[in-house]
Amino acid sequence: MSTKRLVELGIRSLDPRGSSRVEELLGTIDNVFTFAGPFRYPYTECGFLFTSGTEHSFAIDDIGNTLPAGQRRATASPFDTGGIIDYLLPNVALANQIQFHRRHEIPVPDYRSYFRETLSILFSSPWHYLDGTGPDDPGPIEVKEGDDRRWTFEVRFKSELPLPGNLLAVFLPTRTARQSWAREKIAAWKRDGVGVDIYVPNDENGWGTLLGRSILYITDYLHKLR
Amino acid sequence: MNTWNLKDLEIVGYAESLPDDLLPAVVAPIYRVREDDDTLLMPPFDAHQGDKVKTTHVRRRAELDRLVGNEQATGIDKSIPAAPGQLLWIDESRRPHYQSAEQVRSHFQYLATAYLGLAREALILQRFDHADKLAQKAINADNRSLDAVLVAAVVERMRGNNDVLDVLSDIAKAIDPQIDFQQQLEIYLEGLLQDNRNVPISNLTPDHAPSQSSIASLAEGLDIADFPETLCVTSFVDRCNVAFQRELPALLETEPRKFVAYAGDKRLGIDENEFYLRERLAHAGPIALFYVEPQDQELAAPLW
Repeated sequence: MSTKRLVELGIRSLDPRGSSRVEELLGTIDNVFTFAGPFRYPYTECGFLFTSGTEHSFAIDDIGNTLPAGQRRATASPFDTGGIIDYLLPNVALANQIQFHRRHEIPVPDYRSYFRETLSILFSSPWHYLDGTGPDDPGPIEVKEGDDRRWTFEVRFKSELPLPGNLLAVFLPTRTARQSWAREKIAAWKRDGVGVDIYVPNDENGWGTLLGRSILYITDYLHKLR
Repeated sequence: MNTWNLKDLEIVGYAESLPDDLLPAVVAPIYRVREDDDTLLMPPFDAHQGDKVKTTHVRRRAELDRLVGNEQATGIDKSIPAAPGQLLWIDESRRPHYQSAEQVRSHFQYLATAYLGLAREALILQRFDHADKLAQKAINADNRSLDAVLVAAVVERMRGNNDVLDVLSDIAKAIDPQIDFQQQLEIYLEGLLQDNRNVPISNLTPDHAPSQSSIASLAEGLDIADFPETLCVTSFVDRCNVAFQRELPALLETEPRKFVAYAGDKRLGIDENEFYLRERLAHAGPIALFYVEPQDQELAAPLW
């Protein structure tokens, strides 16, 4: 769910220190944030990988017709928009930061052709996008600051992103998977054909194990598609 | 890639925002560079050995505030000087501790073992939810605790949730890819049956607060001779606290989980699933049988 929905439902409150400040400024507070690629954003124990069909379902109307770009319920950006204000363009006026954000929004799923070109032209190997090595060429977008947030594609969904029917795989550490509520969820996911990857975490290294598992899973998945 | 010396760092937070039911836990520290108050080193660390830390995740101070605001990290009030060979862990009261890895691992192993022992006792008492929660604490302390998974499997088997048993088998295989989970579960169950004669309940945390009156009522167990038509028709029961008009096997079916048997101060546990153990019980010496209503009022061994 988006931050806005979570607040409306009383599940969380707005903390001005958190990302909600940036989301409000950029007008993305009613978006659910995902990345095209492995898990990039710290810090979490669990991870969801969504099917590519998820994007399509947010780009069509109730009877299956493709919506005009401006009416679709998902949008992509060729960077992590959460980093624009404080990290990617830190010394730029707010109005220009917002304009920059708007200028780089790309309809979903059409962004994929630009994504493909980015991987083939800016990266010496597309695998360097996956493993976090990063691009060899900074590319045409005028952002020179920041880390992997500068070149990680973000896909945002309007308001809510349902899990049923959209999940490709779920990653959980043993202690989370063992929890009573989780094991029943996992059983349901397995019945629905969702991949479930349960791992023993290395707590001393934060989410490093999760990151590594997601990269392995995606690499294997892509190899099977070839 | 940046490499930092631990002596130049201090811990200002950790990369988790853990719910109560996942504590205690070892956590990944967030370091601040002592000479540069605005520079933080975040996990994951490419190397975190000896006196060096390597990470590409070098962030500004404000990032920690943002992560705390997002409930993705937790700050600590008083920074802790970083040192080689130490681990940061958070106890169940959310207090941070920074101790040698050896000490922490030993402490967590102790916690896991203690919680598993309590979970096992709770299983024997058929307090399944309680057993499940205790075993969860064991796996929080030891991510590789197979017994914590087996406790969950016993609970799910009792509930008839076979789908969930498959999930627990997956968790066990994540811990030990070679495991024959079904076989291990059978061994664990057999062990439970063996142990149920010898498990003290004195240190088991009850699901509900004790009631002195209920303990007293147990202590006043009546002699079988006072009730010609008691449930104590089977040879192994010497006394009980309530008179019944029907025999024990039927009562165990109609009123499951409301009976408890004691041999001295050893709780034996008894229900329709365990009644077949009567022959074993018969060798346990004098048996006292108690009918407990409500069930959670059965709190301690008889006071004789």
